[in-house]
Amino acid sequence: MLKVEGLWKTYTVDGGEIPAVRGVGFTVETGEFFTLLGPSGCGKSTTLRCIAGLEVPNSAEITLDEIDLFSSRQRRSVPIHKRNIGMVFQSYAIWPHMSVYDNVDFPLKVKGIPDRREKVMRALELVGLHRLEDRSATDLSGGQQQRVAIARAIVMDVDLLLFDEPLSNLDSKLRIQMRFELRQLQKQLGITSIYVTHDQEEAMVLSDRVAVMDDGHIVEVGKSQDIYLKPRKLFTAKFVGQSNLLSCEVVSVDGVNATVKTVIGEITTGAPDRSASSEGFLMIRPEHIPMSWTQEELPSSDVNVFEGTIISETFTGKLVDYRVRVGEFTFEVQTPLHHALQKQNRVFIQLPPERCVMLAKDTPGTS
Amino acid sequence: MIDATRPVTKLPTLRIRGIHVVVGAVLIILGYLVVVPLLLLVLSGFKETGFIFDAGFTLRHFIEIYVDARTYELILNTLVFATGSTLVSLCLGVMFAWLTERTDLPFKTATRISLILPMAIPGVLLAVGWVLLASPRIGMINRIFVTLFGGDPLVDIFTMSGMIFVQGLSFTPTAYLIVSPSFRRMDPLLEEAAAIFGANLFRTLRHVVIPLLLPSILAAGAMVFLVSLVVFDVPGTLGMPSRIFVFSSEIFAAASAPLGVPEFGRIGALSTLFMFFTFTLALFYNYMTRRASRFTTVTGKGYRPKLIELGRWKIFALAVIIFYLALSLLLPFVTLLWTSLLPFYQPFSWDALQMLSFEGYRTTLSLTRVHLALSNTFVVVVVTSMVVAIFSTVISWLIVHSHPYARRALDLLSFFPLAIPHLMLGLALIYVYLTLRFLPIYGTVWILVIAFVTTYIAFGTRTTNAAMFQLHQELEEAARVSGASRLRAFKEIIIPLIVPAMLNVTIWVAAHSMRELSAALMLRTSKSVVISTLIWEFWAEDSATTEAAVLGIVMILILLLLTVVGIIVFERTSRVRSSRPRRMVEPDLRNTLSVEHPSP
Repeated sequence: MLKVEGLWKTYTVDGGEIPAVRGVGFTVETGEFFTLLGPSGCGKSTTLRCIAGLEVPNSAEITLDEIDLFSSRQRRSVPIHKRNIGMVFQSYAIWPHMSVYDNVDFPLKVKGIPDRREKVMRALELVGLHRLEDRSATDLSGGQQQRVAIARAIVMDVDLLLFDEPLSNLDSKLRIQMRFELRQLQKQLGITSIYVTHDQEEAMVLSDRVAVMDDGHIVEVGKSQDIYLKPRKLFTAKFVGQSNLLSCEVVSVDGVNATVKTVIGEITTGAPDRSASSEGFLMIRPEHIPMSWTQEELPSSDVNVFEGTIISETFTGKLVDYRVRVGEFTFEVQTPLHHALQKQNRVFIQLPPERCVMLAKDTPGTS
Repeated sequence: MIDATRPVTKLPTLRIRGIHVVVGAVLIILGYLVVVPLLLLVLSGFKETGFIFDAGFTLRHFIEIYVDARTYELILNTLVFATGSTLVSLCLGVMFAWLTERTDLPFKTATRISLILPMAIPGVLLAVGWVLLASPRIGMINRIFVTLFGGDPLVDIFTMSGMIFVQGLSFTPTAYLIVSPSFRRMDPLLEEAAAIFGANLFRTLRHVVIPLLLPSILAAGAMVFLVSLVVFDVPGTLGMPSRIFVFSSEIFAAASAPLGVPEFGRIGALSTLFMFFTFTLALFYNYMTRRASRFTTVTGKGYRPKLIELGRWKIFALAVIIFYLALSLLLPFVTLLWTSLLPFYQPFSWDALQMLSFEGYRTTLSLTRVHLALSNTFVVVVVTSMVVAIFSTVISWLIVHSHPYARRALDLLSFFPLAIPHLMLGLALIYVYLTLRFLPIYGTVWILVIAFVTTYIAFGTRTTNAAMFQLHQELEEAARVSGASRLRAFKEIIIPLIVPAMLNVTIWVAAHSMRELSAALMLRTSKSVVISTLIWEFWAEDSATTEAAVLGIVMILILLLLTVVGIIVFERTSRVRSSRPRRMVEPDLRNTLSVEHPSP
């Protein structure tokens, strides 16, 4: 189990202090795949590098399996090379002057571990490179280099695996394949892993839990499904996936349901989640909005049905993106292809109450 | 599992880590090498006798310089000489860079290499070669001209224009090497973009190409100008016989005054004045190279530059290049070779042809002085080049890894020697080791090693900085995470990857410490003689022209070999580098210049 508490890190740039991480804390269970997700500059990589020991935090308590890796309270720090972790870098960081075998062998060699050959070959086999051991590392393709980097990270029995945007330099097809393989491998080895990415889809696919970060803070932590379907913070709703956000005001609450007032009229939603504020935003994902040319064709035609006008239509391949104007608000709506065959601008859309999420306004400064 | 009993570093030691001790030590060594001599030199200008341990201060020397009309003549001469040679080499260098990088000139690789080769001829030998060719009294060109047409000699090399001509030829490869990378890397898309928006060729040149290249051209100009201000070889060989003095030769003359003690006070004052200019220029150069790299490193992607078709101008362009090579390489070399094979110097004739023999080589190379010079040179060259290569690597590694303030200090201290004229450094070291006698190295070759390490550390660190910044930081971090200590990661990851750059530095420094004349002349004693100073001594004796030529040919052959090896290493380095991931670098530490800085 990895525990991070009160992690602060500032950088000195041109004589001024710039905070990169401001008081981040989280816990990763043993064997869990945990992802730090956020836009560039949110402090996710810095957090990871502090855990690895590549950066020295201004203050933090970092413990891995009950051992302090870094503790400002006790003024102790385990040096990087004694932390027993594996790390996969964005640039692959494959040493160009060594063969594939030597790259993977290096961690074992510097730690003086016996039976190295067997371990190296097993790691290479796990990533499917056992036939390329003699190749020079620079002769490999990007995807193969990334595999070498992964083999190098897992060749030791490490306590923690760190991934710093490892797939962002690969082309999209390979990226999707590697995601899948990486997830398989992690499950097979059961190593506690922390993954840093700005790609929300990658985070959804890989992780058990996701922490969304912004501006040096963790905005919220949750299972990947919950982060997508039931975000609790406006920032999460905006950053993860597409969303329609209607500013709204609570009119009434009756146990399971609530009624809110918006610019397009009153909408019924699930009861607002513990948030006491009566003002906020109503969020609904574009693919959760059924759309039809007649009101009767909608799955349930009684609640939250609105009439609107299609103002644009974009093919994306699998789906069609519509922009639908309802009163003063324009909805993003995603539907399967067959709808596009209709030639009519007037449509009906429905906002299923269970898909409508009520979000409090983010307090400025703490996002 | 993490072992609970494993020793952990206490946090306080995190603040004062080993790296800080190393940074401190390196700063002290650099300070000792760079600042101490300069301080003593400046201080001596304020002392009555020029000896720094004398009591009291005086402004007498500065006032004397200020009121002396000769000073202004000196400044004027120096400026005319430096401006002239800068213009000559810059015009030629830019033209050659354009021809080899942006046009469809044939035989490009061969041309590129041959344009660097003149670097193998030290300034003093180029000057000597041109004396043998164009001296009014003995010069071959004049003798042939007078024999054929009678009348007065055609050309006189012992003039200001002669000096500018020879120095300009000598610095052209430097200008070429500084400018050509930015010509090569300038993305043709920028030109095309301008063309698409309807700019014609002239407007494209004026508004897009020139502004983009200007920083690197100015950087080359500043560099060559800086070196022309301090260079001694050519003004010493061509100017002094006809009493045309520039700063460097004036200081040389003052330091080797035939009567009594050198005028240390006057020298100190002159040097102080002079170094004020060179330091300003060095800072300007540093600034321009930063801008140059910011502009020209537009993309790292491979592209095929659009080449301008020369058409029938091709032949003309090649002819110009061959003519330049004839003037800067072939003619002086052949003349020296000719001289070395004759018992005494005489122009080309059938009679002379009968006298050609290797007798000169046999006698010269069996002299004890020559043996001593050869072995001294060997020691100096080997030790200096290794020390500079290793020290530069360490400094660059620290520049990458240390605190911004330490980084700035290391960068500036290792860069400043560029602004110290070798002659003055030589003088300053005499002060240091005559007055502070804790290292009894005065009069030995080791004082030369110290002088050369100080001067060439500037080039060394520029090169290793560039290489170090091109290494992705994650390569080292991956080693650290894998369990390697800092030292182990440095040894097993950084060093092997940086070896080509170190080799590059070693070769360059070896070549330059072999040909270096000014500091070596200042520090010369009968024990510490090296090849370059011995050539100077032979040349100064009127009857030893053959010996000078013999040694000159030996030296040029070694330098040619080193230059060719250097080119091969450099070509290989740049190929390996480009296949590696690039690291994002703060622009102020980038440096496009990894090839060559000339030697004053």
